[in-house]
Amino acid sequence: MGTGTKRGIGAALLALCVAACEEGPAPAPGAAAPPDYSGALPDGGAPRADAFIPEVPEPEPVRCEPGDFDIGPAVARRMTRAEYDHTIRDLLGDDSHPARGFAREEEMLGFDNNAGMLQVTPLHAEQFLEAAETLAARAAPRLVSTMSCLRSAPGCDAQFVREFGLRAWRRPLADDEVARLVGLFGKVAELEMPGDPFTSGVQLVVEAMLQSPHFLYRIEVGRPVEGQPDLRLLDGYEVASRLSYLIWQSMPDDALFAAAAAGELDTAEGVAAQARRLLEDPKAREGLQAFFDQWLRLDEIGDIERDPAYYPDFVPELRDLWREESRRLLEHLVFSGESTLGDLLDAPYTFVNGRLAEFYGIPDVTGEAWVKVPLDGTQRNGLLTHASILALTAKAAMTSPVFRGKFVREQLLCTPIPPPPPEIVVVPPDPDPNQSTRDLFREHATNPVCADCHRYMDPIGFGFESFDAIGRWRDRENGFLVDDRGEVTSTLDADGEFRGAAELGRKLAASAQQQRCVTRQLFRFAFGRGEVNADRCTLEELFHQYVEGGQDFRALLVEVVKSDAFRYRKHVEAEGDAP
Amino acid sequence: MSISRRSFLRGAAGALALPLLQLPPRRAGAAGKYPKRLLLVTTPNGTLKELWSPQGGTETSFDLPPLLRPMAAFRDKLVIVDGVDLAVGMMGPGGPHQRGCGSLFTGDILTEGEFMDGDGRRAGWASSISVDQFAARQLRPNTRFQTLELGVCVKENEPRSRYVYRGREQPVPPEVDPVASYRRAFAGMDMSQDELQKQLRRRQSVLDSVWADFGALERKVAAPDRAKLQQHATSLRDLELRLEQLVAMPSTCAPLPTPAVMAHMEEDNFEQVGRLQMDLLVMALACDLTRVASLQWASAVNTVRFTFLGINDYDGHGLSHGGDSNDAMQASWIRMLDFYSRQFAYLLERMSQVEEDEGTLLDNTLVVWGNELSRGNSHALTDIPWLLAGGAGGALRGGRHLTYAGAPHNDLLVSILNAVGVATDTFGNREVCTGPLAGLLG
Repeated sequence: MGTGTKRGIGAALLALCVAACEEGPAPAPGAAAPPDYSGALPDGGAPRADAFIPEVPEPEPVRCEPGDFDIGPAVARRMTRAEYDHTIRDLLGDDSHPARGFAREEEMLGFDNNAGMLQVTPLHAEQFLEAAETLAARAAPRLVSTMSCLRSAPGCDAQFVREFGLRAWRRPLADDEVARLVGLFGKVAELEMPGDPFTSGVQLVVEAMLQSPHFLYRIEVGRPVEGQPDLRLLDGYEVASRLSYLIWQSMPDDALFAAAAAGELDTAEGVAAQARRLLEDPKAREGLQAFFDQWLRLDEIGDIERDPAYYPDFVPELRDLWREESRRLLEHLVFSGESTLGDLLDAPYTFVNGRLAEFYGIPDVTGEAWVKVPLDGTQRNGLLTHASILALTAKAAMTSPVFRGKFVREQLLCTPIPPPPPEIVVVPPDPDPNQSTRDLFREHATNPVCADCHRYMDPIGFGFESFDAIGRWRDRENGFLVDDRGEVTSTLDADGEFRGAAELGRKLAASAQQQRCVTRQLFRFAFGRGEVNADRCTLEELFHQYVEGGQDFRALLVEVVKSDAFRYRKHVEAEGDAP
Repeated sequence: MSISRRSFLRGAAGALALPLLQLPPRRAGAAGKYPKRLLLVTTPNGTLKELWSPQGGTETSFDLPPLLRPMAAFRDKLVIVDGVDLAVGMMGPGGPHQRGCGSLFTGDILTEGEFMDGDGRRAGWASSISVDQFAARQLRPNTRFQTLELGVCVKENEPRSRYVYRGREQPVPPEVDPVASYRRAFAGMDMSQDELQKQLRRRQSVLDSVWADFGALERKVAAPDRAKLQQHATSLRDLELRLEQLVAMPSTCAPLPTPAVMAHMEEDNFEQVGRLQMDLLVMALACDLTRVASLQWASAVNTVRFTFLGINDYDGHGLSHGGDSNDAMQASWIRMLDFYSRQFAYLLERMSQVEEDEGTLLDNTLVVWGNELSRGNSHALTDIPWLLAGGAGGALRGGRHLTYAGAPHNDLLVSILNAVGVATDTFGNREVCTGPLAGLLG
C-alpha cells in the first residue's frame, strides 16, 4: 500500500464536493429524520448557524512565567516502522528494513509517530517475533566476532549481555536482567540448537531483547522533583533516546550514551550541546527528512498518477525529480547555514538537475548534477511553486483549487478543514474544454452548504491556477486567459488579495500564523501527540524563540530539546494508587 | 491488574485474564460434536431497505426481496431481521459513519478523539470490546487463532474503517493482503512435528524472558503506560497460544496453496481478493484454525470504485449518497449492493460444501451480516439491514423474517453471544441493552 492513502480519504471527499451539491439530502421512506446538521438552510448566502469557522491562533500572547511546569502528558512511545528500521541498522548493522512489512501505523494529525495510535495487536506481536528471529539469526555470528571478550573467557556471556543490552535497551541493564538473559545461554543445549553453542546463546539473547518492551518502546520513569509531586525529571538515558529519536529517528550512539552516563544530560545546556552534535551528523538529514516529508506530504509524491489523455508528458520519473527538488531546498534551508526555514515559501532560488531544468524550461543546466539556480519571483519562488506540491495538490486530469487551498490551510496555517457534510450529493467535475477550472468550481461560492467550508479553501487555491496539474506554468487554459487572483481570509495576519502562488508564498512567509504553525507541526512530531491546553506555554515560547532566532530550524530544535516538556514528564499516579 | 504472564496462567481477576488451565476439551473426534463458529461480515454505507426486506408475508412465508435473491438456495438457513436500530450509535461523540462503525459490534459509544467525520464532528475509537472478541475470550477455543480478521481493500486507518475491537480504544486492523493471510494461516504446516516442537520450545524460552520484562515494568510505570503494555501483553499471550497450536494442528487439514502475489489494493482486484479471503475463512473455520472470524468489505466512506462492474463515475461512498430520484446513480448503487449479496451467497455456498456430521459447516456456524447504516443518503442508523445465516449448531432456526419495532441492536448482540454458547443477558452499553432479542433463538 502506498503512502498516499493516509490523507486520501479526506482529499477524495473534497474532490467529490467539488461541483455539486446538486441535490439535498433525500429522506428515506420510513427512516428516521436526517440528523440535525442537515437541517434547513437559511436563504441566501449567510452561513448556517453551525457553519464551520476555522480556528485561528490566539492573538493575545499567553502569559507564562519561568518555572511554570505545566506540560502536557507523556506516554510510552512504540517504535514506528521507520524508527525500527533505523534502530536495527545502527544496532546490528543490518540494512534490510525488516519493518517495511509490518502493519502500518494508525496516523494522527498527519504524523505516523503519534504515541496514542501505536498499539500492539497480535499481528504486530507476530511480526515483531518473526523479525526478531530472522535478525538474530543473521546478526549472531557477527556479534560474536566483534565481542570485547573471548567467548571462552569466564563471564563473557554476561559481558556480552551488558554491552549489547546497553545499546539494545538504550540504558544499563539491572543485575537481575543480566542474570536472566545470561540464563538463555544455558538453554542452548536442551533446545538442541545446531552450530556453535555460544553463538546460539547470543542469538537467543538478541531474539529476546528485540521482542522486549524495553526495546520496542521508549518507556520513561524519571525521578522525583523536589516540591513538584506531579513531575518527574527524565534520567540521562531517557533524554538520550528522546534526542536521538527526534533528530535521527534512531537509537543513541556511543557518545550520547557516554553523555548520559556522565550526567551531562541532566541540564538543559547539556542536552542542547548534544542536540547540536547530533544535528552535525549526516543521520540528522535523513532523520529530519521524516518530519518534513510528513508535514509537507512529500512522502506521498511517489503515488502521483496523471491521466495520459490530459497529461501525456507526465512520466513516473518526474515524481522522483520533484521530490528531490523540494528535499534539497529543505536541506539547504536547514543545514547549509546560508539561509533559514524562513525562506521556505519565498526562496528566490531552487535546485534542479538537467532533466528537471528541461521540465521547467530553465536554460543552461545539463547533466545529472543538482545546482542552485535563481528565481525572479514573477512566476516562481518557494515551495508552493515547486512542481512537487503543485502536482500533489492536483487531480489526475486537472488542477484542484480545493486541494491547493486545503494544503495551505492545514499544512501551513494549521487550520484544519472538515470534509463536506455527508448528506450532500457531490459530483466531481470533469475537465470541460469550454470552461476554465475556476468556472467549474463556481458553485462552491454560490451554494451556501458548500460555501461554509470552501470559502476558506477555493479563494486561496484559485491563486495557483497559473500552474497546471503537473506544475507547469500556463498563461492560458482551454483558450481562456488564466485568472490567478486569489484571496486569503480569516487568518490572524495573512488576509488579503494576491496574484499567483509566488506572491502567496511571500505573503505567507511574512505571516506569524504561518511561523507559529511551523512550531506547532514540529511539536506534534517531536512529542508524538497533538497539542493540548497544558502545552500552551511551551508552544508560545517555541514560537517566540523561532521568530527571534530568525526562523532557524536547527535552533528551534535545540529550543525544543531544552524545553521543560522535553526534559520532564508529567507523573500520573498508578492505577492502584488512585483514591 | 497485572500484565505478567503468571497472572494469565493463574487466571487472575480482570477481563484480560486468559486462564490456560481451564481450556475446553479439544474438538472431539470424527464422531463427536463439531464446534460452533461465529463469522461476522460487514459491508459499508447502508443499503436500500425496500429492496432488502421481504414485503408482506408472514414470519415463515415470504418472498425473498431482490437484494436477497442471490441467497435463494439457502432460504431456509436465513433469518432476516428488520427493525433493529443502532440505538447506541445515536449516542456519544462522532458523526454517523463513525458512530455506526464503532457501535455495530461493540454496542457502545465512541470515546472523545480527534478523528473527523464528514460533518466535522470528532471522535476517537470505540469504548469497548466487540462481540467477536468477547466471544473468543469467553469460549477460549483451543485453536491456532483466537480470532481471525480479514478485509478487502480496507485502506483507511480510522474509526470509520474499524469494526473489531479487543477492548476500549483497541481497534483490530484486518489483514487485507491475501498472500500474507494465507501464509499466516498455514504457517509451519510444511514442518515436521519434531521441527515444530523444537521451534516452539525455543520460542517459549525467548518469550519467558520477554514476559519477565513485562512483569518488571508493571511495577514501574504509571497507569496510562501500564494500560498500553497490558494490551501488548494480551496480544503476546494470544500469539503464544497460537504458537502452541502450531504443534497441535489436526493433520487432516491440508493448507490451501498460497495465492500469487497481486496488487491487493487495486480496485480491479476487489472481487478476486474477496474470493481468496472468503476461501481462506471457510478453510480456517473448517480446519478449526479458528472459531471466530470476521470479513470486512472496504470501509465506511471508502473510495473504492467498482470499476470491475463497469461503475467508473463514483466510489462506493459517493454512490450511496445518490438521491432517490437520481435513477442513474440508484441503478449503479443497486448493482453494487447486488454484488455484495452475491459474495455473501458465495460464502454460504462454500460453507455448505463442508460436511460435518449430519450437516455442514454452515449449520454449525452463525454468520452475521451487518452494515453501519441502513441508508446511505440519509445516514439513518435505524432499521439496520441485519441478515443472519447458518444454524449456529442448532441454536438458530432459519427460513424466517422477523420484524421488531425499533429494538436496540445490543439485544441482537446478546442473542448472537447466546447462540454461540456465551451465557450473558447484556452486552455493550447497559443503558440501552434490554436482554436477548425476543423470539430470535429457540
